[in-house]
Amino acid sequence: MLSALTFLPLIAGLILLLLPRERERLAAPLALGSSLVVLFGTLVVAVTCHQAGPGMHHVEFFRWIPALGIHYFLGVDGLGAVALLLSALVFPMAIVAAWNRSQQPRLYFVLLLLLQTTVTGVFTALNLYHWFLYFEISLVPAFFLIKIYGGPHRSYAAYKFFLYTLLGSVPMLLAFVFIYTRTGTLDLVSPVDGVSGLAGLFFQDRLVGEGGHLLGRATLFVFLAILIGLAVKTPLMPFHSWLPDAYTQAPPFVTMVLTGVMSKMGVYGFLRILMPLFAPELAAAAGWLSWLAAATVFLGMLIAWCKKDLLEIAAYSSLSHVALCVLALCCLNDVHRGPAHFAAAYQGAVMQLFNHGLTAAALFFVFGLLIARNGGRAGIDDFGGLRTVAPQLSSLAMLVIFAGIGLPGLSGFVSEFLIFKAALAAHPGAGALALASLLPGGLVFLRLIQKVFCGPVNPACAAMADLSLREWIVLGPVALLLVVLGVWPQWILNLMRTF
Amino acid sequence: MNPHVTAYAAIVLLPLLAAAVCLCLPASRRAWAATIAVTAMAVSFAGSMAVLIRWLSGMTVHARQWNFDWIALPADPIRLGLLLDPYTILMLTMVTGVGLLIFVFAGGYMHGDPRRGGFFCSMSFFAAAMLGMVMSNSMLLLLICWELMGLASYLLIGFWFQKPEAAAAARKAFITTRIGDLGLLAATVWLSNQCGTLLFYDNGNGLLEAKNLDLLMQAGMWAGMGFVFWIALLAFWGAVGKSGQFPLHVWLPDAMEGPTPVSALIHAATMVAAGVFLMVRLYPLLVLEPVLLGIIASVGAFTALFAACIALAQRDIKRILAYSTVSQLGLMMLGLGVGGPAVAMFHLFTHAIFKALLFLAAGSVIHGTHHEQDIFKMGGLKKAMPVTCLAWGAGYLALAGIPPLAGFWSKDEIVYYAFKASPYLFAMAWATSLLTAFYTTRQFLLVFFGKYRGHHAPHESPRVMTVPLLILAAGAILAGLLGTPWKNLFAHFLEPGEIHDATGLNVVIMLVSFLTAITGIVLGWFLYGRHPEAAAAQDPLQRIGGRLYRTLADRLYVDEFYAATFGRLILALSQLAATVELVLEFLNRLLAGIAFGISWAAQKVGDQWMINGGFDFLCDRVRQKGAFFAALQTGKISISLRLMAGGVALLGLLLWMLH
Repeated sequence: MLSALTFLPLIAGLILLLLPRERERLAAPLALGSSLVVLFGTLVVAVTCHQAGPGMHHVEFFRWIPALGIHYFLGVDGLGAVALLLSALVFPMAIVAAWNRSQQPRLYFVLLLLLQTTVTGVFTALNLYHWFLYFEISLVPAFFLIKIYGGPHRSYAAYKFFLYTLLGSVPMLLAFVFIYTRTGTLDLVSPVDGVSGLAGLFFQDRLVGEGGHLLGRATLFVFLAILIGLAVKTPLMPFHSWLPDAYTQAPPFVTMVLTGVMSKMGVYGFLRILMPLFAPELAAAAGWLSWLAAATVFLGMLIAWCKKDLLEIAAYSSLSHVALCVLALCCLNDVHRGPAHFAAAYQGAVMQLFNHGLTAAALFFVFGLLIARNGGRAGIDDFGGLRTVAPQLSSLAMLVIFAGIGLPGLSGFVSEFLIFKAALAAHPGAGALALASLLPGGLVFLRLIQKVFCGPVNPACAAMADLSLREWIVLGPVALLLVVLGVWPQWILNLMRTF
Repeated sequence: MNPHVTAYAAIVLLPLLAAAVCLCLPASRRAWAATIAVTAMAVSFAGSMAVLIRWLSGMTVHARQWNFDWIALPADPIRLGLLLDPYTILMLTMVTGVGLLIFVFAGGYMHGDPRRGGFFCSMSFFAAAMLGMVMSNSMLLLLICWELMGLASYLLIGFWFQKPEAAAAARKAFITTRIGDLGLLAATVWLSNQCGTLLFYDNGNGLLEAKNLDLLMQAGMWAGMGFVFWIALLAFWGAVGKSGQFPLHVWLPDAMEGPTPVSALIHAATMVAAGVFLMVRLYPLLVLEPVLLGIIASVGAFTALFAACIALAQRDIKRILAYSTVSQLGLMMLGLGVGGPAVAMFHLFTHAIFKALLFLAAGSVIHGTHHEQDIFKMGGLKKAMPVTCLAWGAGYLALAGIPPLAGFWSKDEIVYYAFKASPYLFAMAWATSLLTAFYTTRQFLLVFFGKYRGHHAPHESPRVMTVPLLILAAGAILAGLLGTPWKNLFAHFLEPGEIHDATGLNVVIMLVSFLTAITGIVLGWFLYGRHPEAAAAQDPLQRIGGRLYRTLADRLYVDEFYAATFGRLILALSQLAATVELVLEFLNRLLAGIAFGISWAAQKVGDQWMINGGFDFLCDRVRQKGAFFAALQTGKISISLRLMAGGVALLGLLLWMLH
């Protein structure tokens, strides 16, 4: 099942490549069809996973290169199900968004589908070898999507994005190799007994004396090497330099995927690899790591305050919101505070992963629409009075924005509340800094609403079209989901139940 | 589910449903919006009355609270709940009752507006959020409703969003209250971490029950004060934002950009009182820290006086009322700090009635004078708008504090407790009363007396607007009788077990209050009533006050001060952070440059010079040596033999030397 979900987009992409040139307009429907099948499959996986309770489900295990500990090993638990669901929701959105792309549509959708395969691969892989493979290969389609279809500085942005994240991954790769040389396995969990996998081995290792015998004195370096790789991908300050360029130069409908799904690969790595294997190190690092995360949360929003470009604002706010997940992770190992505390942090992190993915994708979608309708101009002063001209578009955009700034009743509030609850208990200083980011957040987005949607109509956008049916199909369900998650968050929390 | 609870929840759910229906109304059916909203409100009002009557008739409702899990964390689930207690019942009745009248009025006021659907959607949504807040048995549910009220307020202040001022005022209101909300959020999170629950009452396990209050008292200290002090202070900060207390009062006068029914409902009667209600709700927590009650009383008293001063010099009919609202909210906070919840709630209750009345009457005036808001351009309206004038008169005297109208009794109670608490607080409350009587007189005389100074002929408003005015006027005259010092039914209802009837000293204070109000009114008449035309040509206060008048008219430059300090500070910080970004980007490029440089150098030095060049050099040397040796290979036997002989001789010599 999981393999099918992973490779279906790839196969669809190959079929697209074989399409004759005069049938190119079939590219979008085919891509959408494949992504809808994946969405359906993911829903099935999520439901069965939920019914089966905690643990890994839909496991697939084949020996691949046994001599090197490399197995083809897939499985999904609550965390994986949530991440998969997010990816399966965002990709159809991104495909519908780019429906009428005129420039090389076929290649665009092929790259998008390839990206979906790699992302799905990351969220299902349980062997570090192909986890890393997917993690890295995902850069390739993303690189070309930015390089070919991006804005005026696309080339610089694409190279920077590619090289930066690649460089970040080098230490991570070395760390994985080192782990293999010491433990002889690359499976994150055991397909058989739950002990011989890396998680089990590290867990048992911690039970003996001071722990850390498995990797010896290298433990700290291995931890830091993986941390850097994930910190670049997520990203955390000061490893975020690639983000503003990539998010603003990529076409907005690609940024939907970059921020909605790809940035979550970093967070997922934290939850899937770093937390189970390096719990004590993470707890020891939580002090400064929480400050780093809180600084990213606060400074991201603060910087957005002096930006006037829609995409830059969305990029920096996205940076800020993803870092909240990392802040939550820093509270995870505060075990002595009791299970409720742990649960708040964990559920907050996973829920924020999902919420932000959805909200950010919707935000970039809306901004993409606005910019496309305004002849490519993206400054907040280039708009004005859109509520008069395009009331439906404006209302849904405002809903998405309010979800983004954590208004209660919408999804963002729930996860932010859980994260603040955990963070203020475990790291009061960093937690307070992150909480304070709500103020610049409000400033940034309320000004945006005021300038773009209110006031007298800007003559440049006097003839702007309202939402089309196709755009309704993308935004409507998302808006509904944002409200449902805000009012009744328990279902997604049930889904991620891993305790 | 318990049918009682379902019926109870319907009070809040009906307006919510009405909001959803109004949102989905097609444009051709927008005329239905007012009817739908009013119907839902009327049913909610009936429900609230039923609850009140059941409570008063002693038919105890079985469960006072009904709680449910919202987020099921393994150990301590996050729970929400509904609560039924006298405070809630009072607020429910007040909000639905006043709300119903305002909705009816709005049906007339907004008649013909193309976006009525959106208007009544937001209004109903607001009503639902407000009702949810007062019913909430959970700090978290309260916070959620609290912010949703803020959203509704934002949407309604900016209802005429095409006007840049309205859009700016809406943003200002949202941001300023959000500054307060951050405090409330922090307090909520902190309480949740300290007590493991956010329910107010939960059969002994709630936040406001003895067990957790003891726990909180024993919690840690920070900066010399207990945690409970800081938690309560943060919550109070939220109330400061919502209730427009100094220093976060700046948004409330600007909020008058919204349609007048909005100002009446949200920015006078209900939402702005939410801060006071929050303090009332958390009172069991606040009494643990007497210092905090002192702070609340001081902030309230200062705000009351401060806003009353600014109101003296305003010209806009709604802004005067707005500053008056800020001032009266300050009095409520003062009353809470010195006298407790019943005192604050009584003024909240009477104020909601007479201030809603004044705002609706102001709406009627604005409607009748074709959107004129400057009181100096009105005058003589008592002939053209007799009903409005009559209603306004009732509200005016109630606000000014003339017995036996509503405002007198509730204000007197506050002044009485302030007198018992501290001479400074009493002085501030007394001065506020004096100024209030004065500026309300100024407004009343300028609007309704003298000659009409406008251009469009004024007209009385239709009955759909005047009938709610008259009903509210009756309330403004009579509501205060519920809480006279001789028989304080109101306080007995809220706090059944305690003694509230305080005469004695209070009679003296009552006399002082009355004389103060009369003094203010006489002063006002002296300046504005004797020569109304001269007064309208130039404000007599301006003649007397000079520079001070200007400063007050410019609202003591608080907005300018904030823009120059906090506004600049946050922009500067933002630009600083962006500059750091640039430095980071520069470092990135530098590193990339160094990397490219090294690789270029490696290619140049290592590859081309050392490896390539070294190989070439070696080859050259080999070739050169080769040439030398090749030169020796002349092919002449004689030379070869000679060299061979020489070599052999050399070898022999070496061998001999080695031996």
